[in-house]
Amino acid sequence: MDSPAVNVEDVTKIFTTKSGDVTALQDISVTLVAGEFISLIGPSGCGKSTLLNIIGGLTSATSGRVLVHGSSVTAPPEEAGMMFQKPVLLEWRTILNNVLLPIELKSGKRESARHVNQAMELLSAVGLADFAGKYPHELSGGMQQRAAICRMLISDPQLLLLDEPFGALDELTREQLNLQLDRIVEGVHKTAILVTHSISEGTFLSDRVLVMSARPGRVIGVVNVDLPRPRTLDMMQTGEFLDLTNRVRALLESGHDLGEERIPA
Amino acid sequence: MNSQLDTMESTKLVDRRSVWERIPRWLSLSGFLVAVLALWQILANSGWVSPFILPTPTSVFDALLSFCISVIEGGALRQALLITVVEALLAFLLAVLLGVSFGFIVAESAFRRIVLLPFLVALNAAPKVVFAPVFIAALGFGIGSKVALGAFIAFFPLLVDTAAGLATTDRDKAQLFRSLRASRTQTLRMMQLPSSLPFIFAGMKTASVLAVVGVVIEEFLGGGRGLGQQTKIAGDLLATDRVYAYGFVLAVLGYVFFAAVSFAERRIVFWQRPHGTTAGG
Repeated sequence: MDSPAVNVEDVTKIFTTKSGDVTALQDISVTLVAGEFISLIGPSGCGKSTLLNIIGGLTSATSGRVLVHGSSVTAPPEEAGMMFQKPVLLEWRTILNNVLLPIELKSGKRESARHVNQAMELLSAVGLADFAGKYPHELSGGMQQRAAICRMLISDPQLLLLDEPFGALDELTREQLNLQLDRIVEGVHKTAILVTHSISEGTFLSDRVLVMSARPGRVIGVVNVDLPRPRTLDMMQTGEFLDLTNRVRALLESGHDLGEERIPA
Repeated sequence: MNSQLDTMESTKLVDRRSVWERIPRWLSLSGFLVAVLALWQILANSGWVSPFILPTPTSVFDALLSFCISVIEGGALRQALLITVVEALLAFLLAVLLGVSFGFIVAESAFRRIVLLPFLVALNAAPKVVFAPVFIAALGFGIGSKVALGAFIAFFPLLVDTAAGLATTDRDKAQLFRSLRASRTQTLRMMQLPSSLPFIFAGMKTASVLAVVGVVIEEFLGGGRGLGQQTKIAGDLLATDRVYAYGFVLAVLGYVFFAAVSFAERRIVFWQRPHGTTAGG
């Protein structure tokens, strides 16, 4: 518990494009203790997804390094589970077999058969028990994304990397899934990093909200969320919650204005 | 997104449906067929066109009927039909086996994909019939040369489609498999291969028709005892009604192959099934 779960040390990412180098991330340093939930929020192009991909070992940093549970990330770390903006389910597999995919890839078919009960428990927890035998094209977008939650959790990852997982869903579905995610994360004390565009979503789920600005991508402010857990939808109506979201919004706007000034009229 | 587009399109169609969309499909199809046959009969009887070029539909029907009787009674034509069916089937299976395998081999290396594939695509555009004499020289006048040309012609679209399917990898799925630390083989077997099945089936549908074409061409050029050879003999005798009748039988054969592959496609690539359209009918 003493050693941090995630250590981002001076990470800079420069993309080389035809029109010159673009600094996507500049000197980012973040430390997460085990069980902490943080959100990365910022305008498009602030590099928040890039940062998540670097932590997830899918992209390499130009300089700096990332430690997950003390070891340097050079490939996707085993303790991480990722979720993307799209559900990315395999159309030819049933929902159950999609959930079991990480086990099958890691330990083979026989081992994945032993996890069927566990997968069914996860599917029940998100209300998909009756859809285990269905194929992805038979499910709505929200249901597909819930199946993707189960797929992420089946291998019991200690670190959840969430890349705008509910960005494509309608507001009500999104709130429900946020609530379910909060229960899941709370119950098993997992460390999580969420990339989001939504101020209320980021605030609702997090212990800390990191606000980023674009070009170059930098952390320009942190808002600590001291609301008790588990979080409830009622909390979103409180003055305290409103205060927090206003602070995040103010930070975002200050970063946004900076960005605007740099664009020649 | 897609279903949204579909509904938009169908509402547009409902708004101004033409006569052809309002009458039942079977009626319009059979009506059209009757009209074509009637026109054909009038044209053939008019004396404007030589019967050696355009026999009457009734005489073609007679030739078709005697063909059917010969097939049912186990005459020479049954043997001929059977030979051609077997040749086309073998040619198709051989083409699938080789086309898909080579598609994999081509797609699996950057050199082959970038340097070799364009040449193969160019070769695909070449009239492969010119190799017919080569196969006769190599394999003789028997069934072997027919299977070889049929497979050779059907092979290319399969290779190109398989390679294209494997090369067109879904970036999201690739990222998912990378994040799950999947091995190269796992990614190929569990993600790329199933993802490319729609492409492979597109290749197989083209190949199913081309296999029949290739086999018949080789029978025309290299003899043997198949239905293509029978058609050529009929043509040499100026028995044009039989030429039309056998041509019809061979067309049905090609269509049956095509329909069988389409059926398998709908079963295997079930997730790509078009929803709520009549196109698949």
